[in-house]
Amino acid sequence: MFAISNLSKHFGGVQAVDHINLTAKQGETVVLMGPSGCGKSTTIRMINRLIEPDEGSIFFDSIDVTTLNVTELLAMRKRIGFVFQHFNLIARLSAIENVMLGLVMGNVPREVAYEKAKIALIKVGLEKELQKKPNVLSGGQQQRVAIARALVLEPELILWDEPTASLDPMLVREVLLIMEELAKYRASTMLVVTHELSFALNVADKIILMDKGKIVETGATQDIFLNPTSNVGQNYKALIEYQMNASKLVLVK
Amino acid sequence: MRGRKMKFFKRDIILLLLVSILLGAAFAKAVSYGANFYFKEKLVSLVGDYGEYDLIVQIREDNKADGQMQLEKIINESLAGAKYKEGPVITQKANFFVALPSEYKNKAVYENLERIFSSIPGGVGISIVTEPKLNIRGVPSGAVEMIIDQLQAIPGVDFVYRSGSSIGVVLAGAEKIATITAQVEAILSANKMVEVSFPAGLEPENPVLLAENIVTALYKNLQPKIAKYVSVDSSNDDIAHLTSTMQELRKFLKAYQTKVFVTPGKNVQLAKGNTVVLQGEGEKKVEVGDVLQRNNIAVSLTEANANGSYTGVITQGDGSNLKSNLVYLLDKDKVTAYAGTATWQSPRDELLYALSQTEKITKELPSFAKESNTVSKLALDTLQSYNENETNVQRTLSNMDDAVISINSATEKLEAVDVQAIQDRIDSSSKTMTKLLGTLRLVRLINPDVSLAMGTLKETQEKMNAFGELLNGLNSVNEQAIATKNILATMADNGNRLNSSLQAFNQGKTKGNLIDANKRLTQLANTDFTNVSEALQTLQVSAPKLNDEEMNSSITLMDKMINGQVIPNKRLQIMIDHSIWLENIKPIIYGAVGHQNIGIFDSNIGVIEPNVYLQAYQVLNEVQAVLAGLTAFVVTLALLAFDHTAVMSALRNQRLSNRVQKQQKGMIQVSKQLIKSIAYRENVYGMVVGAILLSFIFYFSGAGIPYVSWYLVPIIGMLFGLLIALITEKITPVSVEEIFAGKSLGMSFTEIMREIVIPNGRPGILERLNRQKLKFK
Ligand SMILES: Nc1ncnc2c1ncn2[C@@H]1O[C@H](COP(=O)(O)OP(=O)(O)OP(=O)(O)O)[C@@H](O)[C@H]1O
Ligand SMILES: [Mg+2]
Repeated sequence: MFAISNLSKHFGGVQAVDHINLTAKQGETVVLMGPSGCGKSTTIRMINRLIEPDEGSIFFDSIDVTTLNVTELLAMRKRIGFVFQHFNLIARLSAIENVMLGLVMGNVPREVAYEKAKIALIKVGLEKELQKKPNVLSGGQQQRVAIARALVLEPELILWDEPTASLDPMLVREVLLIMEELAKYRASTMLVVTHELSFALNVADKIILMDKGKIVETGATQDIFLNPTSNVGQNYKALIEYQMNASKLVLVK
Repeated sequence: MRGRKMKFFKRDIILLLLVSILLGAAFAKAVSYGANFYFKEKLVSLVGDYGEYDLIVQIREDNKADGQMQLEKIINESLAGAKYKEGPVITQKANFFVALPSEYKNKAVYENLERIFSSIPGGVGISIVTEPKLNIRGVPSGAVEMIIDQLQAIPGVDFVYRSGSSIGVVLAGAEKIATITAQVEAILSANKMVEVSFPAGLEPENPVLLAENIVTALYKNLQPKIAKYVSVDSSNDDIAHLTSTMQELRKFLKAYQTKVFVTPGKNVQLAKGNTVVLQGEGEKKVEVGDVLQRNNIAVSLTEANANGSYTGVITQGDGSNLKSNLVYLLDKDKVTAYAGTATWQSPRDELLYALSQTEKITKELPSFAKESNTVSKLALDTLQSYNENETNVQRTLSNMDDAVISINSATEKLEAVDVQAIQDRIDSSSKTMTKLLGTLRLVRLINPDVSLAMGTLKETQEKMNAFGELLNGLNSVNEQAIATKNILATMADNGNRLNSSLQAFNQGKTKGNLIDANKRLTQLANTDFTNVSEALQTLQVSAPKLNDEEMNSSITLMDKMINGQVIPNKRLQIMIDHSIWLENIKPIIYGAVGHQNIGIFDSNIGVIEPNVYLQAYQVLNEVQAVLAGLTAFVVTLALLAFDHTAVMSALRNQRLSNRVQKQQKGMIQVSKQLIKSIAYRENVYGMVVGAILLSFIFYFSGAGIPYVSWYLVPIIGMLFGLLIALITEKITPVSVEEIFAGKSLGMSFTEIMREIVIPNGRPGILERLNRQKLKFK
């Protein structure tokens, strides 16, 4: 069980996140959508306090994350995986070292860490790229390393901040497939910020729409996309219809 | 929370600071020491190490080989044990450094160095570089010896020598240099120099004499501990005194010389500088076409007179031998033409005449006195029959009058001679001539030409001595002559009165007068005429010894010497107690000089010269400190830039992830923001680290920069830190993404620094230290 209550953040004059509330059940996949600049990244980063919230609480496993001291926070972060839009791999470390990093820092013996990391990388289909440095990997491969790095710590909650947004469209699929698989077969709760409608439609248990720092609509996938109440929702509905027509055209021919 | 995040990392930073300070200080010290070493090497190669050498002998480059050989020879023969080293050639002069063994480190050797090394071919000069040493310059030459004696007495002074107008004070050791310097200053300031300067045209003719008069007056009026004429050194510079004496003697001789006045004949052209000849003892009569005979009289015309006549002085023969007034012109030694007629005046003859007259009179005086006595007795006896005897008495009395006149003229001449002054001058001249002869004897070895001058000088000296003794006699003669004159005068006076009494025929009165006269004549008879007469005889015999020719050559010789030896007469320097006010001194000097048209100033006696050598070393040490300081600056900046930018950038990133920079408008807001920004954590960090680094590196490397006080050092460090902090992102950018990744993996600040920020940063001490702790190498 994961809940956000009254969470707010402002940057100077900009109210990036404005008193939002949300909940997610264990194992649920919650997709957070909204126009650019509406506060999605700020929200998701406040959850593991990469950004310190101004006010509000974040409950994870009945613990209010905002009240934790440094040591507790560091322990908590290990339980929450985070996948960034720009992969954020450590450039000087090889793929496997990147994956091992969290384990080694958590005092897991090196050999154990290596084996675990290797398994994680095999799972994301990178058994051949273990020793490669990020700069020789493709975007999709890099993001898969990043996913393996998050997964290897066996997080109870995984936060995704537009994991496919900076990928070549042809590479998006390999990442989405992994994400869908995770959503379907893992017990981890996932909070996913994404513009991938297909992903939302396929695996989301709940959609949350944000606009200008506020949550404007929350609900099951069908409800949101078939009968949207907010402007944001309307726009997504129109977008889905446009994309469906386009795919029909392709498939008919 | 932030503080606790930093906690683990603090240890790394402290270790880093310690290592940075140690390495930085060592580096700064090494750089400065190295540079200093280099400069010192240069200096040592130029002038040797401090106190290592005593002399630098400079030899012209062309003569280097020969000069060096001779130098070696001199060292072996005269300065056994001395060592020399060849130094660099500078401006075509080769330098040789000579270290003297201690037995040669003394006044005698140091004052004779020029002589000792004089035989070096191409020798340019010798510099004394013995250390520790104080140099004093500007000591007036007359005070040098006195000051040297006083300096020598200071404990810790090894020896003192004179080098030109400077005094060198060589110390036994460098430890007491400050105390000795103070004592030297005390000695120099115990007295002061009073300078009397004369405007052009009013220079004293004989400054030595005037200075002596001033000194005497100062002693009489102000009772100073010391008052001394120091323009020339009395104990060393005999020449000045000789010159002074010669000036006096020359004056005397000139006055004593025979003067010949030549009136040119008709159509005869004469000129100043011509030489003419007059008949003297020569056997053959002077005629045109003759060669000048040794026994005739040659006269050099020295002055053209307004009336067309010429005045000349005798250059051959003596005035007393002039036999004819006919003058012939002389060209070299040929008599070329008739030139006119001459008259002459011989002050010496006049004196001689006066002397002989006086002597004659003196001889007759006793008999005359007796005679007069008899006459007066007779007169008394025959007073009753005065008619018969009147004529007799009158004759006696007129005789007596003549005697008085003769004696008068003789004694007048005698009185005119300031015997004592001449005496003194002759004495000192004779002494100095002896010294001069000594010198000339040496010169003769090189230049035999001076033999002639020496002969003349020796003769002149002998004659002067004889004349001196003669004058001694004259002195007593003078006194007795004056006494005689007075007696005679009274007697004559009485005699005259007697005469008129006789004429008036007042028998009774005449009788009384005669008795009176009788008494006086008795007195006269008692005078020691023999003594007087003898003295006058000696005088007559001695005086002609100086004939005109000799006098003239003496004057010429003196002129030559005086010409070469100018006594500085524009300025007199007199040393006197420092405590005596100039205002009290002035009136006394005005009095002695005779007018107030002079300048009187006072100044110090000598100053201690800055020791260039020591200063060079001090400067070098300063340079070392400055270099260390500059290196400390550079090192601090480098350490800040290479090691601490990673930390500062991380701090800055941490700050920015939580805060937003508002867009600022307006000057006040911008400056407010600027002030606020100083408190940003990376800036504070930079300032603290900068201050610590610079202060400690400064301290440990012994740095010091002129005008940079100790309290400015941490401030400069802070400014450096701030400067680097402001551009930290440009020097060492940190990857925000990687930091976020690290954070999301639950890594602490320290772990992020160690595994992500520092390995990505610039290589440096921090990066090195970090490698030990790095989990992923
Ligand atoms: N560090 C920051 N400093 C200043 N403003 C910020 C900062 N981070 C976010 N903002 C502002 O806060 C608002 C919300 O930003 P946020 O990145 O959360 O939006 P987003 O929904 O993730 O947009 P996108 O789809 O473009 O990623 C925006 O207006 C953004 O400009
Ligand atoms: Mg975003």
